[in-house]
Amino acid sequence: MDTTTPLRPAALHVLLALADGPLHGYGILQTVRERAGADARLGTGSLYRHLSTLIDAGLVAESTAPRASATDPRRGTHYRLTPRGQRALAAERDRLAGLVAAIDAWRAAPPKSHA
Amino acid sequence: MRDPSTPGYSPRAYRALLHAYPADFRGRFAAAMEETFTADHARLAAAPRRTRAAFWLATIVEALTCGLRERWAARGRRHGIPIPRGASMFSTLWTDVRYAWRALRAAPVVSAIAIGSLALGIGANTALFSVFYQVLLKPLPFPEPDRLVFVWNTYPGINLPKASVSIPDYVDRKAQAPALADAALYTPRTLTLVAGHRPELLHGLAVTPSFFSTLGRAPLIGRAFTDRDATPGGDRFAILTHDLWTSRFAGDRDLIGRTIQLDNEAYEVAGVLPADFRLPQDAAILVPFSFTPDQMADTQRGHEFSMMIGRLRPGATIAQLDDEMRAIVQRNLQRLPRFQVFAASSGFGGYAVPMRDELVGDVRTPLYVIQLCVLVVLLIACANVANLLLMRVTGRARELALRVTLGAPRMRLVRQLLTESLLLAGLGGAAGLGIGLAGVRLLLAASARQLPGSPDASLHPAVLTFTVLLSVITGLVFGLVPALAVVRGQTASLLRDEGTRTSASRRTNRLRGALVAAETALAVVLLVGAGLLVKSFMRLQAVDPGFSPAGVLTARVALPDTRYGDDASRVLFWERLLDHLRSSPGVAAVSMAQAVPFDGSVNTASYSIVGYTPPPGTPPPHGNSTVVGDDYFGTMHIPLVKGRFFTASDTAASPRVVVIDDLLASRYFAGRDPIGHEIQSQGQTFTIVGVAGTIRADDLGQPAVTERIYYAYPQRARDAMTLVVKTDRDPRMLVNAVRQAVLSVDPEQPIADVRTVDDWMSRSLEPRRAPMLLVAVFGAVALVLSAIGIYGVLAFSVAQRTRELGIRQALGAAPRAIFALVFRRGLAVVGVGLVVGLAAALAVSRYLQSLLVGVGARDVQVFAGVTALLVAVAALACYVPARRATRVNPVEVLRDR
Repeated sequence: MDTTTPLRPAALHVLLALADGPLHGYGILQTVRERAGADARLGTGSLYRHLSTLIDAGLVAESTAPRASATDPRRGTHYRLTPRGQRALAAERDRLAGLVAAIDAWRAAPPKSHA
Repeated sequence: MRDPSTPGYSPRAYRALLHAYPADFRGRFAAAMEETFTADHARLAAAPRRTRAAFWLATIVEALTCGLRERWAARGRRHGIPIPRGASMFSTLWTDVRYAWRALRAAPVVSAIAIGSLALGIGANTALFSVFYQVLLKPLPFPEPDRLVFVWNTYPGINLPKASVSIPDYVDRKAQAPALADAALYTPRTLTLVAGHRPELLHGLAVTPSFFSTLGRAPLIGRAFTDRDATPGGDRFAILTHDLWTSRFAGDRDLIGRTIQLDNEAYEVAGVLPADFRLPQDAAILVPFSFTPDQMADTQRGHEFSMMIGRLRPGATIAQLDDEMRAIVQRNLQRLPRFQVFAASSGFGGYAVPMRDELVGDVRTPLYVIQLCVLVVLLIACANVANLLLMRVTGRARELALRVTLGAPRMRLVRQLLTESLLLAGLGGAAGLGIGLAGVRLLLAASARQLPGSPDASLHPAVLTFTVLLSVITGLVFGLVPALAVVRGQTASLLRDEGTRTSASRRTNRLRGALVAAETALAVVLLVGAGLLVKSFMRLQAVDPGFSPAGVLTARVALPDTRYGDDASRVLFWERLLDHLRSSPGVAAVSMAQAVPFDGSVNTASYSIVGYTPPPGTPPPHGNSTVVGDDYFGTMHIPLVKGRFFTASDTAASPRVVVIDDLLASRYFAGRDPIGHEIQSQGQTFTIVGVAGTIRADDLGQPAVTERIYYAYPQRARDAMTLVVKTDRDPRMLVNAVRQAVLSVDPEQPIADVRTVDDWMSRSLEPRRAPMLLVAVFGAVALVLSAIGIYGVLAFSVAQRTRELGIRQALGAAPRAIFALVFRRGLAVVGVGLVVGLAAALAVSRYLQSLLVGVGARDVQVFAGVTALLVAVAALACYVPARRATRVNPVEVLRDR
């Protein structure tokens, strides 16, 4: 997966959730649900599947930086956007914007056969 | 069940779920996932149960699908095959299907046999399940049908376990049984409809207005009967069935409120029933059932000519209702002391049965037996196809082994093979659906009258689901056999053995032998069942019913009260009709009777014998009563045992006489001469003048258990009688003459049920004939399938052992020895199947006993016959491959090497 491949909507939402700063798993889940509303049927299982893909693609990185508790070493595993992830998000935004512009242009002057 | 949201339980459950993911994924994310899940789950702590259940369901589905996809992807990485994430499952599936299709096309004969076997098996199941579903499983077309019951009277003490209900019984129970939310009473009534020029005798039902509220359905158009419609004298209303409405009135909606002529009276049409309204018994028209105060009086107890249905109160049980009815009987006995003796000795009471059970009645056991047989046939088809596939896998051992060696994951091959099996099953299932739809038509044509609820031949969604499921399951069942062979690495060992040129591994051979033995065993079980039923049926047809049914034509004639109000006019009608017919050409004898044997009517009544007091504790005599014309016995060839039959001089004015049957004579006059003794019935005294032979009139399979009294028509005239005409030619030639004779006596008088006595008897045998034919057909199919199976296995084994057989011949083995070698192996397999099958048949045939007459469930003749048949067919199936084995050319075989 590179920055030129279109992202799946759920993956895009995960990237978007991380755009404001590092988050832990449940934080991502909540942010995505708030932004996407009922459309986002995101559960823990698919979230981590997407995270795994995004990490493998180098768009997201794990960080253990701000620990919440000292007793559990894993507690507070956070995820953050890599520079590559930021580029992918921007590229996706441009791609979608282009798409929207094309649709709007078609709407403004629809072909005769469709009028 | 434990609540999954209990703290401490959910993280553990989730941790278990995570095992769906591959280990390395778990290692990376398990802890974080668990943490996230716990936080997510906590949010639902106060949510309703349903939301939590939905959450868990979604979690489980998600974990399984995501986990499997991760595994799939991980495996691709491990094998160094670049499997793209996401779409991979479906693209390989498509490849598998295309590959499977090529494999099936590559061996068209094997594929055709396999698909054909499956189509037969699945088709038979589809056809039968279609009937099975409609009769036994489809809900009755009424709201909350489980609350609907039939209510019957019972007299266990006088061998009358089930009797109709009297009007006072109904009134008591409807008012005094709290378990009943509603109840209705109905009684059959024949009505003559005159619409246009043609009079037509209709079977109708008189129903109380509560009939509709009890069943919970209203007419399609118009209205239901109201209590005002059921006022004696003011009850000339009718509700038509959908059939009658469309067939006689062209579905005219303006008919509502208009009048039609029934029994020469004007009835106002109140409504039309919906097409799917299922009446408790066959009828074309409903009229209100109204009771006069006299009819509700205690003197009417025992006049049981009506059927009662009820709707249980929500939550009430049949046991409760039965208890309440017992209490009602007790209360009535205290109030009516003169019923006490009879009620106590006869064990009088009431009982309820679920409506579905009552309507399904006797067909439940036969249907279960047949459905089981058909599943057995399908199993045989499965065994055959499994065998064919196993052979093909062995034939392709080289290819499969090569693919494994080249690094194809074993599971990939298993998937490939399963796809082939499912494709086969899918094709077989599609063909089977066609066969099934044709089969259900045949099935209904053969036995529709036995099947309650008039099942139709249309494809119900439930049946389609059944067929699809059956196809998938069969595909998996027979597909697993070769697939497992691959998993166990039997194919790889074949590669080492130089592929197909030497004997297959012993294990696969044994497996094939076992499959053939199994199908032989199943065929034996089916054939034994068929043999028993056929023998029983033949016995039954040979039974002497005590009269001669040959050449007797019957027709129902119901004289309406409006034109024949008194006995004299009825007697006159019959005299003129019988005279007219007697002079017709071809008529040997003619008479009439209240009911003819095997027409399904039962008319029993209590009577007493003058001078005979039943010993304490035994019930008073209770027997069949039949009103007959004077030459009835001669017409039916019922023998005279003693005394005389009725003559023309037994008229309404002469002393009252009866003829009794031999059973009554032996029961109450053992060792004495009954002639001259008197019996009393319905307040009248009759002198016994003759004793007739006992006849079987309702079940050919059993000797009569209830005695019979014959009354002379002029002394007990009734409105509805059955004309009986004996001829020495084909009785059907007389149908027109009979019709003309009736019209010449009364042009407005219709006749109904024109049928021969043979026909009535044959109808009474239908419940036995249909299962017999079906089991016989399925037995034959099973035999053919297993013969194919035996042939297939031997033919394949000969082909496999070509080299060995060639070497044997080269070394001097005689063709006869080679023949014996192959033949023996085939017979050994068949022998095992035969022994197992016979043992199984011995074990299960007793379940057939209730369907058998005059044949034991372990009839030696049947078992021996089946054994002989099977051995003969098996020998034939072994003969062909054994012959081929002797024709192996050793020179070619060895050169080829």
